[in-house]
Amino acid sequence: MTAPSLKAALAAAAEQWAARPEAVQPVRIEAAFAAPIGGPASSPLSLEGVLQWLVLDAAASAAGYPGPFEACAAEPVDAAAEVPLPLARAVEADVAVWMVSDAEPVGAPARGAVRWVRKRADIEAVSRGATKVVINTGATKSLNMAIPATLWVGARWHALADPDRLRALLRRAGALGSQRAGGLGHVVGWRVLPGDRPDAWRLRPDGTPARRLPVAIRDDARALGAEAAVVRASAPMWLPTGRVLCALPRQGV
Amino acid sequence: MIKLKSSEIAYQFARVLRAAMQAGRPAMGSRWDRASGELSGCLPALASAAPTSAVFFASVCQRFGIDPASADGGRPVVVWDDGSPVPFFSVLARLPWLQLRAVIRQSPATFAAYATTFCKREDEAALLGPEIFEPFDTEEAPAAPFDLAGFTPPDRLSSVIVLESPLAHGADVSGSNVVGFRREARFDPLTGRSVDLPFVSGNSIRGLWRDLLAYDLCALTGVAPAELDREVGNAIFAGGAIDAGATMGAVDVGVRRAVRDLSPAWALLGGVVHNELMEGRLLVSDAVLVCRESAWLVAPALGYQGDARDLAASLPPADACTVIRQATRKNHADIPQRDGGSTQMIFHTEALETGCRLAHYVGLRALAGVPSVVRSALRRAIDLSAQAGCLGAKNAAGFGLVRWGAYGGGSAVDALPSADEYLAHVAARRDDLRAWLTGALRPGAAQAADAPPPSTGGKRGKSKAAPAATQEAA
Repeated sequence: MTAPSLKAALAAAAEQWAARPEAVQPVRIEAAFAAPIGGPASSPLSLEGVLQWLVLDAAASAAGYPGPFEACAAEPVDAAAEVPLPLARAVEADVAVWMVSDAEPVGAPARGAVRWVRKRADIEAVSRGATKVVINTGATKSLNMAIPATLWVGARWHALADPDRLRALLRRAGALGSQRAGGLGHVVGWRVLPGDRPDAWRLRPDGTPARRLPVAIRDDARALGAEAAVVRASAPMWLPTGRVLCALPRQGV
Repeated sequence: MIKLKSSEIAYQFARVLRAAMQAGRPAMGSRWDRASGELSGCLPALASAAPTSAVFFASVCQRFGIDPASADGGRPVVVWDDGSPVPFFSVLARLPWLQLRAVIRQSPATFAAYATTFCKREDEAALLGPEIFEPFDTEEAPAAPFDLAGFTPPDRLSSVIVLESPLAHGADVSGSNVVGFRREARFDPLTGRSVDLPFVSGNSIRGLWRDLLAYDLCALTGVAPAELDREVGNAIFAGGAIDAGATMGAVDVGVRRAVRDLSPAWALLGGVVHNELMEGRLLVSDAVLVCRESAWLVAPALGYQGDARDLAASLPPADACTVIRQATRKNHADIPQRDGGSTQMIFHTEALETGCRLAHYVGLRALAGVPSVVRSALRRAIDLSAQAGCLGAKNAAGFGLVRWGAYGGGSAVDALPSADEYLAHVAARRDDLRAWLTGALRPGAAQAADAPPPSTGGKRGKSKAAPAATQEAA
């Protein structure tokens, strides 16, 4: 039996992971951390990317690919539009966004930290045919890198979501942020609780954006007390295409 | 005891330290020129190892050959308060030890410089007054204890590692000839306070498992490390590197699939090989000291079901779990030295005590679990590390002997099969693995026709990529 295409696999994944309309409700998503999260304090801690990767990876595997990069390289998809998540969607300034905020610190204020990461080449393993192995430059350079990190005690996101499917997905999210494969961003636990404000995913109590909100003109951003910039409105945030004018949440903790 | 501000504690300690160092200066000779740096380096580690301020002060004085009871012309070291001498032990008795230790860690260089700086007596009040230490008053009010009730842990496996000898894992910054143990600020939700928690980084454990799997693969395929293709050798031992001249902005699906199929260990750990950056499946957490301050975190690994506060009360504090081990390097007595000089080096290593435990977690990144052979590779890595029985630094000198507990718990999809499946895979693909390791085979080379066209011309190494790709296509 041949594997389905990635698009077909994503369509099948929607049956398992897309938000069921009857189940959508305001929720508070909270995480407790045991280690600093890789990334500077100014970097917003977004939940979309984590969830999207998990679903996309599962679909890639169902389609016979070893991972999301291979799958998307072979069959490009619009990840923001085609990867189903247990979150509701809204349209802001004609742009679809997931109804989930950026994180806010809970438990104690977040603060900056540094994690040093070291790497050394195994000299014998790179010595074939060489009279010298250079360890201060090139591929075998020894590294002692300072990774900026942020010490979060806990984080909270607000969303309109299908809580049961969200909980099932979050169980597979063991760490967040950069260098998570090496200890940073270790998540102690998740909990999904009923939310109090239906629009908490969109605006903070002070009326400023709680996430990147597409706007038609910069004045719309100023009306929210926010700066504006042309950025991605949905994960993957690193993608250079699909950028739109957005009102930005206040960054830094 | 009256609660003192950190600045007051710092000032009082700095005064008594200065008094001792200045009293011992005449006997130090040329060592005085390096005393500030040496003092700055040893203060945190000696503070970590000492149970009381008296023991700490005695160890600092001993290091510099100072007898605080008689260093001041046969009299005890004193500080002067309003013209009256106050002996050093009276000053130290007023200072809460745990708070003093935390203050020292804030800026050991400040204390070292204060103790050794030259200052005329008439200028002391202006230059060495208590206002210098006002920046030490940076304590945050404790946050409300963070209630962890209702949090569901992600799916992961856990283990407890027991130390059978002191464990060394170097601090990010060490001074002089004392290597401190690595610590990181973590928040203790039970107390609402930030603590410096000793830990072994997840990255170092990843590196250990990567090395073990790489050496194992070499042994299983009969390829000596010195026979490895340099790029592949760097990849399997150190994760590889993106070379100058790489064709960026393109993904060679054939190579990526082929390498992952060929080497389950590679699929597990990921890295860069053949200019393809591939992510692995393994999440390795830091191994955290089982202590009072980490009780809330280590409870699942210990299988503790009760209130984490009760567990915390039964565990030692983190600061009571380290030792300082001294080592020396001396010239051999029977080997004449060039220039007739004598070279002796004394160095100290702060280590976690024998008998301490570390709690460790690993996770596998995939919604529905990773292939069985990849999990089997993880089991192989764990088995190899358990056989080696070592962790951390200075294993050759007796540090870091450990008993590695089995990894359990987690979701059914993450269950680790035996290593036999991985070993059977390696045996079945032995010839291809040998060819890959020695550079005779580039996995996925049959898909070269689908590879992105080589870039021609341009700057910064793109011209290097062109001939390499041309050779491959030919």
